[in-house]
Amino acid sequence: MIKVRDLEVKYDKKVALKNINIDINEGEITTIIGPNGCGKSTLLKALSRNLKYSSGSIEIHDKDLKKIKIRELAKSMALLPQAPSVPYDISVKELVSYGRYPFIGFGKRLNRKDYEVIDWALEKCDMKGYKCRKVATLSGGERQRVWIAMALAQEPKILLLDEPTTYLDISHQFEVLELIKEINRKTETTILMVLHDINQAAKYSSDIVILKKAELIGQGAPEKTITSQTMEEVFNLKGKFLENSHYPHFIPEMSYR
Amino acid sequence: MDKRVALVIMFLFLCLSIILSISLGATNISLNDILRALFVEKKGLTYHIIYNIRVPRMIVGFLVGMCLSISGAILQGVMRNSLASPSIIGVSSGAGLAATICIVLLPAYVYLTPIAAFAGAFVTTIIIYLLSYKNGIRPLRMVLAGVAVSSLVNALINLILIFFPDRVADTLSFTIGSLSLATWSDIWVILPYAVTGFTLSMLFSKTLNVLMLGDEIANSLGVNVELTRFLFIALASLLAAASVSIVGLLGFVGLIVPHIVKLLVGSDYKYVYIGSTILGGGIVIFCDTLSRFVAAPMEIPVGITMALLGVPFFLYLLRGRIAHD
Repeated sequence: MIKVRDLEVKYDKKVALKNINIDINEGEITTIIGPNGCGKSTLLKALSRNLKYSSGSIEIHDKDLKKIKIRELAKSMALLPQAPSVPYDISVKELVSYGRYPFIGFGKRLNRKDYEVIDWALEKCDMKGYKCRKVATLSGGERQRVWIAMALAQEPKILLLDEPTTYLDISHQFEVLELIKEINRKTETTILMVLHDINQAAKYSSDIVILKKAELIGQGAPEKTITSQTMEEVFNLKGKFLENSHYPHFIPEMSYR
Repeated sequence: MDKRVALVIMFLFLCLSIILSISLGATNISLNDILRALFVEKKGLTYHIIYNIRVPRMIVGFLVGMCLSISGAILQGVMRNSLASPSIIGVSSGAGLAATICIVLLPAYVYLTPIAAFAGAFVTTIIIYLLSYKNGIRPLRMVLAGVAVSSLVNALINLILIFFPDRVADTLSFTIGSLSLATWSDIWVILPYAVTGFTLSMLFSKTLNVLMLGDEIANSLGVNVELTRFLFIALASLLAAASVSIVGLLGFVGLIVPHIVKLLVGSDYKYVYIGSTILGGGIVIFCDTLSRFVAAPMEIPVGITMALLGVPFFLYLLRGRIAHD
């Protein structure tokens, strides 16, 4: 679905990503992991056209990303950045309705279909009862669900999430990831996200992309990519894996830098 | 407070200001005489005062207040900075320099002052935009570049004034801002900007709302952030430039009014624009009326009255907001 070939991104002269070649499969959850500053968010920004890349190519459904009109792209791809800002007085319903922005013709209002999609998105994220609440008064986890509902209102085929669990406590982290899994299962939305927690990445994704120092270290199923070797080479951590777990669950014991 | 109630209150304030501005001044005219002069007699001294002096002055005040307030509201939005106002994108300093050159250095061409001020304001905005452009515009970088360029330009103004101390007084009414010379022809100059500016900003109010969610979200909702931001800045600059070219540096309205409006009607730009139009116009008319009434027959420039009244009122609202938070 998404094909990245020889991608290179530079901030001024500093190379943020180089030689990136990955394929993101349709309808799956793919998670990018790696140490701070490895280029995880940069990759997401390049894919969402928030950042220009200096060379290489990105294709979405065999179409060159640079040739897709930005409004057209918005109808098939949604992005939830880290810590987005919320106007202090906006209500849940208003915020989610912005997800319909790319679909509304110039000078037109939301029509019945738009309202149906907004309701559907709110329902999916279990936020229907919060419609009239101000987003600023919600808890971190509820707020994140509203943002996800806004992204869903775009009816995206691809949903990009940049560290959707940051700033959330453990139960809200679980809730948000379960929601993402359910969205993936029920709507077959392709999901590409950045996570810090290796174990969450292993549990929720079918495909892992590992980056280190702007380069791709590996891509594949969690069992194949999250190994004691990667933990040592990429994260400088020694430890062991939990036995009898359905997915790799790493318990760090020693760090060496 | 519900935003509709707030808008109605602002509208009543505007109506009150309009009535006061026509009836108060060097001679006070009763409401009865005003109506008679406007609709029945259409001649005589009272008609002349109302039709040729007070009404144009009131309309120019309204249009200028409206343009500067909308300009400030747009800038505070696209820059995502509460201190943004027309002066931050160089409108005040640019217009000030051009006007000073005309008035002080080229007195023979003093009639060109409005055109020069307009050009100076817009060109300075473009210079600031280009200076802060590097892989796109970061709002904060533009705010800083704006402050820096404005300081430089203000230094140039002062340099000119130092060499021609006898002409400082001539530039004063421009730098403070005054409506005392407003005429019908000024209305025809600024009206197209006011109408176009209001229409465009209303049509694109949703785009600015989306832009308030951050560049990344706006981009992923299909907004061309770079282009949109440039067009909004250009529009804001033109609105403010047209205003200051006629009444001088009243830039202060553009900072305070959008804040007051947002405190009263919230952050949806559709209502912010309507509120800015009503309140911006109303405040300028009200302060201008006080300006010529309080110390009559002396006239205080409206810029001073506005600062003396507007700032305390703004601070009062701000404290209420803090308590509310």
